[in-house]
Amino acid sequence: MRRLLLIPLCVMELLLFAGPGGLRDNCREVESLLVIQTMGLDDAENGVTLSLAAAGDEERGVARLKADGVSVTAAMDRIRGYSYEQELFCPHVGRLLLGERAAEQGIESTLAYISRSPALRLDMPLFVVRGGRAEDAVMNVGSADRGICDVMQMIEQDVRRRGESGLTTAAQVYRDTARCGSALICALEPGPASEKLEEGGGEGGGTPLSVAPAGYAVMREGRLCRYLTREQGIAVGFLKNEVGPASVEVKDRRGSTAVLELCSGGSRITPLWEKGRLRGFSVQCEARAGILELGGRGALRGDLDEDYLTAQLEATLSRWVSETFQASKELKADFLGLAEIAERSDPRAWRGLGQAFVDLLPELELEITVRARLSEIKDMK
Amino acid sequence: MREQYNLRQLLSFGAVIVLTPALRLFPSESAAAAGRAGWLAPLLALPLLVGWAWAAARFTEALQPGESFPALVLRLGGRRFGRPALALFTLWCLVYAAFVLRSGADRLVGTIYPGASPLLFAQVMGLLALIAALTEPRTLVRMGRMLLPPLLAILGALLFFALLSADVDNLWPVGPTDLVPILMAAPAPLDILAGAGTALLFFAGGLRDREKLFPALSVWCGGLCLLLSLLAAAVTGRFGAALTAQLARPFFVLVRTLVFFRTVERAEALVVMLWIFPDFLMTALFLWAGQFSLRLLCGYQPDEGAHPLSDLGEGRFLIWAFGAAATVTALFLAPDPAALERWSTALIPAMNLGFVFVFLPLLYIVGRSKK
Repeated sequence: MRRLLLIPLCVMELLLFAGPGGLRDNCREVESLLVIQTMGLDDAENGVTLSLAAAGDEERGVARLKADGVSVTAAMDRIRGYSYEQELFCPHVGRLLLGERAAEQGIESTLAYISRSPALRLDMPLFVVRGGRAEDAVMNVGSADRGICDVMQMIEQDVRRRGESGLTTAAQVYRDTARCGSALICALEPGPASEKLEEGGGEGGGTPLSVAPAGYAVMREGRLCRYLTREQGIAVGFLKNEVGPASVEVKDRRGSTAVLELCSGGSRITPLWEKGRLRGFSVQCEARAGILELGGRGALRGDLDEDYLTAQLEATLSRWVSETFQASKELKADFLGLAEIAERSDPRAWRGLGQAFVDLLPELELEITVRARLSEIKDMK
Repeated sequence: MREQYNLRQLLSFGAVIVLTPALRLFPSESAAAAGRAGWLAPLLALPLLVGWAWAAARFTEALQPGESFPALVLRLGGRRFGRPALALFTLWCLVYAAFVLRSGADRLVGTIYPGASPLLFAQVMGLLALIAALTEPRTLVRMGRMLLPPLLAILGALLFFALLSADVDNLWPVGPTDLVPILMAAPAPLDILAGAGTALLFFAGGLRDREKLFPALSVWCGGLCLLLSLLAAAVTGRFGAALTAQLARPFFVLVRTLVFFRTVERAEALVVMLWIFPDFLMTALFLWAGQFSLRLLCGYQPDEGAHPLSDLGEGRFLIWAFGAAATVTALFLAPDPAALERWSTALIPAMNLGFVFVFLPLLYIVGRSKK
């Protein structure tokens, strides 16, 4: 008899499951969801502008949504409230684009939002739209059936492969800011797409907008303070030992342009300690490259030509590395993680430095050595 | 208490219940206290844990044949302290069971059921744990033995993928200057392992091979210290110490970011649901110990044998009452996340350490001094 008491108890629990706030509220059909993959954040007069995009399909095209709000949550609620699209589903947001002004004003609150949100992922890469707004990229890039999500997937693959820039996740930006006070975020530059829309296609036809990787955005204490060019991005790749097949343009002996492709490379950074004082850093870079294009007759005429190209490559890489270090010194931003390298090399001397590393940074000397080899044989010698 | 299970089964059960506080507390606590060196804290705490294992084995030697842990508390306390000590023990079981119910519910809401009421989950789990507490301890112990291999296999796979993508710079270098911070982080593994290990002793009365308890507990502590180290290394290696210290549920955030074979992602719902089992066993253990103590306090002579659910004799109605009290306490224990955080990071660890390193040793001394 008393065992029967369990039945009403179980029924009661089932009713609780079905009630408001119960588990049934969380069940949704996949077909009824609009899977957001790209999110954009900009500053607005009274808060933020949030823009969202889902990947396009042949039937419905690309879904792009935008709203202003005093906070990200308020903007999201407004998008939800005024949208005739399906239910927004954010757990598969794969990237966050930040407008330039929003990045200048600081991204700490954005990072905290990502860390707190159960829907968003901490390993989502961040991007800064150089000289523009994220909403322009999210709302206008691409065509009716291929939007920012498709473009960004290609860009991410390209960035990972080429080594001219790098993907930095929200967790990495948080960590680097906490550890070094600075972080690098991949920069995107908007520009006209290579494609031309057919008449009547897109908004008013004409050339659609696209974005391309453009080096790095330097974030100091969570605020955008400068961009590193594509060339400096390649130097960052060397200094972090993440070199990809980027192309390098140099002049040959006759003044024609030659294009070399980096095959591999890296660097060794050694702190220069002198009687317990950090004098500077010695950077030894190594690079291997192959010839992609040669001006003039299109062929090397002997060892002298090859040696000249090698020397040009060494000089170019040395200049880029030097410029990157110079940027770090000028900004007092340790985005290369030099402090950690110095600490690891001599922890005792590090503890006796007596001043913050970023204050010491502008006075540090730099010794750069680059050794390059044109070792990669393409189909033509 | 009748001898019902062997040491291996009991320690497997213990390894399962350790996962509840380990995943809740350890990665963020260790990162907050010792930064990137936090993953070394369990290894440094190991000698202390071996000391605890020795003391726990000595304490268990005091158990007479057929005696349960609550009965031992009553006997050691004697006429003067026995009943107050048992009342305190009962209260501790009630609070801990309620806390596990509440924090488990919070985890489900925070990770996969946003917007749902935590009370709903606390009630369902409370009911299930109550049913489990009505059965024999042997059932729970054997369930723990069965659950351990799949849980460890899944945890191992998750840690493997996490460590594969971890950044060594987040964990290294560690030097002599990190020794003090690591020592500051050592109470966390001590609380987790000694706390769960002592809870395990509630079932020690049914153990067949009790004489091998000390070496077995030492090995158990060593293995779990290694697991805690790997857990902290995986989370800190992936997020860095600063971010890990800020995260409320770092392990489940880690699972959220893992991508398996470049195709499968967002598997956190499955993993979070699996972690219901350690919560369930932990709650059932404390409900069982609490109701047993309560019945002893009320003058009944409880036994751990199987009874029909409808049997309310020998104070068995108090099992239902205790289960209901734990569930109701869970509803009021932490009305908001800030209160739950306070319970999780300060009150429960402090009470746990107090129970293990103050209450039980004092009781032992009182018991010994009577002879």
